[in-house]
Amino acid sequence: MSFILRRLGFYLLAFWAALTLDFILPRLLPGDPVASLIAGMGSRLNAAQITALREALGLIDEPLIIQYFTYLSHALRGDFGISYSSFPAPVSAVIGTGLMWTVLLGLCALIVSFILGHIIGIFAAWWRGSLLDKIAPALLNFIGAFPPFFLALLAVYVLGLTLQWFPTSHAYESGLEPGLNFEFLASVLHHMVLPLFVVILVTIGPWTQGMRNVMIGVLAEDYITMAEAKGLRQNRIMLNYAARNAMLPSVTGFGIFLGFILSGQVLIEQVFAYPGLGFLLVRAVGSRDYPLVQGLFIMITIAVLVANFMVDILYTRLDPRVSRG
Amino acid sequence: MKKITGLLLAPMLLAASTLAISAAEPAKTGVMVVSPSSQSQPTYLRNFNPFNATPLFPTTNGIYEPMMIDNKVTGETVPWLARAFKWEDGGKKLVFTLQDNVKWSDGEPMTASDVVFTFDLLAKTNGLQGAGLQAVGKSGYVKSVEAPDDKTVVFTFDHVHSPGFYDIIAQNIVPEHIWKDVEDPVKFTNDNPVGTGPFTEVTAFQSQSYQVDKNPYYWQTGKPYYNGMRMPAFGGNDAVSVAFANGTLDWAAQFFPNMQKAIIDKNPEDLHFWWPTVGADVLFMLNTKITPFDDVVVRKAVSLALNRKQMIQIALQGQSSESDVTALSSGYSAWKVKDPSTLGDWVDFDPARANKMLDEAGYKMGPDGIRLTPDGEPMVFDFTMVNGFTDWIAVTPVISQNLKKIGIKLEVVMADVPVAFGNWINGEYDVSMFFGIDASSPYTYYRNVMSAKTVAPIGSPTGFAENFWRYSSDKADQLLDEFAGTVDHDKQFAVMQELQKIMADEAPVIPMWHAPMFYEYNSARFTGWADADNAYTAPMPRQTTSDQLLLMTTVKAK
Repeated sequence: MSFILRRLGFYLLAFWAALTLDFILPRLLPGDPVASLIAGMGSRLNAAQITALREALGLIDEPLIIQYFTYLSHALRGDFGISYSSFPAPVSAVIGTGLMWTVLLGLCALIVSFILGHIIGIFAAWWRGSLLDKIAPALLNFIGAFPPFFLALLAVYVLGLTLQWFPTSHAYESGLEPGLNFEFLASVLHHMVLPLFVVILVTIGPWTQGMRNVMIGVLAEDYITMAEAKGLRQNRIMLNYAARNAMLPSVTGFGIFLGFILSGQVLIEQVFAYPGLGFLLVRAVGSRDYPLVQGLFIMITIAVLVANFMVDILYTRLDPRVSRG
Repeated sequence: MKKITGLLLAPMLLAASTLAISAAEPAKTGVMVVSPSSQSQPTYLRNFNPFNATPLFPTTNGIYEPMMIDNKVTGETVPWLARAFKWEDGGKKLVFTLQDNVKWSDGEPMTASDVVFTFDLLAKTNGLQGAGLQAVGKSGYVKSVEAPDDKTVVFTFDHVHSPGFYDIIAQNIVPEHIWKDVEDPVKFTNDNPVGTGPFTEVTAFQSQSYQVDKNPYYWQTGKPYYNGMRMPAFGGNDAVSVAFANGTLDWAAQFFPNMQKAIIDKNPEDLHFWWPTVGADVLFMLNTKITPFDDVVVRKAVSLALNRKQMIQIALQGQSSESDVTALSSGYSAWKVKDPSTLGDWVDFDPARANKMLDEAGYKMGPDGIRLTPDGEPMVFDFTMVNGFTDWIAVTPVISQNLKKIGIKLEVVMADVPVAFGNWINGEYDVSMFFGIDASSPYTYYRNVMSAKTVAPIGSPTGFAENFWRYSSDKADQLLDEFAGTVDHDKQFAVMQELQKIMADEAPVIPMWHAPMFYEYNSARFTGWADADNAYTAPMPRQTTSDQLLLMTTVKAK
C-alpha cells in the first residue's frame, strides 16, 4: 500500500509541475490573441472596438503571479475559462467537440494496432528465421520511423486524391445528421479509414518488435521445453504458454500508448482535418487561445498520469516484487 | 507481408465499396450552400450573438439588419430598416425615419425604441462589439439617442461629425423585448435568434454544419426568394475549392490560385467568379519612424522600384490592377480626382528614376551595392511577412529583388498572424505589407492614413488598420476636421480633392494594387447573382459589411 501512496505523491507532484508549465508556456509564445481574432474579422476594428474585445475576453493587465493563482484555483475546480477563438463558449465545451473523435480514433487504432502487432510478433518469433520474421518487424519499424505527417500526406495523396478511395478530411460527410443510422455510421467509418491506417502504421512496429523479442526469450524457457516434451499441441504452447507470458511487458506499453492517443495524433489529425483534440490544439496555438491550449494540455497530462498510475497498480498485482523494491 | 497488407486493406476496401453511395449528398431544393469568408473552423459552436466579435454567419447583416446599407459598388446609400434620413440643426442632429411594417421574426413589430435600446445597450455594456460603438462608446461623439415616436430616431451629436453617419447606419438592430432580459449580453450565445433579417430560423445545428432558413415575417414581402442557407464546415481552403469545383457549393468567398484554368474551365456553364476591386488597396508599409523612411524621397523611390504588374500576375494571376497615387480603390470613385496621374507618377515602374532620386538626395551607394543612410548605416531592413498569406509570400522575392536594384536590402522575417498583427499595431516592424484599410467613408480612410489622431508611439497600439506606418500631417488633420465638420457634400468633395493631393505629395504609405473582393457562385440552382454585367452589390458572403444583404434578397432559387 505504501508503494501506491508513494506513487500517488509522485503523480500529484508531476501534476502540479505540469499545471505550472502549462501556465508559463503559452505566455512565452510571442503574439497577441486579440490580433488573431481581428484577423478573422476583416479590418474594421477601430481602437474602441479593440478595447471592447479585450474587455470581453477578460484580457486585463493583472500581475502574472495573481493570474497564476487564479488559474490554479480554477484549474483545480475543472474550470478552464472561456475560449478566445470560440468566444463565448467555455473551454470544456470546445474540448467536448473534439474529445469523442480523438478517443474513437485512438481506441480503434489502439485495438487494431495492439492485436495485429502482437499476432505478427507471435508468429515471427514462432517461425524464427522465416521470411515473415526477417521482413515484418524490420519493415514495420522502418515505416514507423517516418514522421507521421509524412505518412499522412502520402496517404492523402495516394489513397485520397489519386485513387479517390477515401475522403481526405473531416469525421463525416458534411450535411449528414449525426445519429444512430446506417448512413451516418458508414460515413464515420469511411472518413476514419485513412487517419486510422496512418496511426496504425506508425504504432504497430514497436508492438511487433517487442512481442517478437520477448517471445523468443520465453520460448527458450524450460517450461516450454517441458510442454513440448509432454506432447502438447503446438498452438497451445504458442498461445497459452509462450505468448501469454511474453505479453506482460506490453502492459506498460499500454499506458504510454494511452498518452499517445491524445498527444501523438496531433499532426495526423491536422493533416486529415479530423476534428479531434489534436486538430483543436494546433488551431488553439495558432490563434493564441491560451485557455484552450491550457485546457488541452491538462487533458493530455491527466490522461497520461492516470494511465501510468493504473499501470503501476496493475503491475503490483501482476508482479508483487515491484512493491517491495 | 502480403498477408498483412491484405489484412489491413480488406476491411477498408469493404468499407469503401459499401460507402461510395453515401459520398455525394444532393442539396435540398432552395437551400443555398455557402462558405462564408473567415469561417473556417472544423466544428461549429452555436453562437448567433451580433454583439460578439465572431458570431456564425449570417448573424450580422443577415439575421440582424442595419438601418441603411452603404453599397460600395454603386456608391449609393440604400435605405433598409430606415426609409429616410436627414441632418438637422446644422449637422448636430441626425434623424431617421423607419420603414413601416417591419416585424421581428417572432411576429412582434419593430419600432424606434428597438433602435434606441440597441445603442443604449452598446453604450452601457463593456465588451460588446458593433459598428455603432464608435458613436456611443466611451469616446463617442453621440450625446443621446431618442425616439420621439414609433417611427423616428434622433441622434444628437456633441459636435458636427458627418462621417459618424456610416457608423450609425451600419449598426445592426436587436429586439428590445428579447434582449432586455438577457443577463450577460457579452457571453450570451443567442441560440435561437430573433431578428428582422431575411434569414433568421436556425433549423439545423450540428458540429459540422448548420442551416438558417428564411424569416416567416420578413418585411420585404415575397423576399427572400429561396428557402435557406446551409453552412458546412470545410476546415480549409482546399476543401472549399474541391466543393466548389464539384458543384456542391453555391456561394463562396475564397481566393483560389489559378481560378479560371483550375476551376472555372472545368464547368464554365455553372461556375463563375467575379472579383470586383471595390475594397481597399493593398499597401506596402514603410515605418516612417525609422530612418530613412521618414524621407518622402525614399518612400517615393521605393514605390518607383516596385514592379506591380509582375506582382499582380504572380499573386492574383492578373486579376486586379495597379494602384494610383491616391491609394483609393474604385469603391471611392465618387470622391476621386478625375485623373490621379496628374497628382503624381510615383506608382510607375521606373527603377532608374528611383536610383537617380536617391543619388540626388545624397544616399550614397556602399561598396556592396547597398546604400547608406546619412548616419552611414547600410540600408538593410527586416521585411515582416505573415505565415499562411500565400499570395503575399509569392511576391516577396519580387519585392526583395526590386528593392535590391535601388540599393535597399530586405531580410524576410516570417511571423505567425498574431505576431505580425501585433507588430503592425505596435509599430514594431521596418517594412511589411498590409491588406488595406476597409472603411466606409474616405474620411476614415485618410484619417487612418495620415492623421495625428491615429498615430501612437512605437510600442503602443493603434486601432486596427490605423496608421501602422505612423505618419501625420497637420495640413491633413485640418482638412479632415473640415470634412467631418460639415454635412455639405460639395464642401466635402472639395476637401477630399485636397486630401488626395497630400496623399500624392507625401506618400505616407505605398499603395500596391486594388485588393479584389473574392466571390464565386454557381448558377446551376440559383439565378440573379451579382457579376460584372449586373454589378448591383459587393457580393462577398461576409458579415462584416452590409452589402451581402442586397445579394441575399435578390438571388432566386431556380
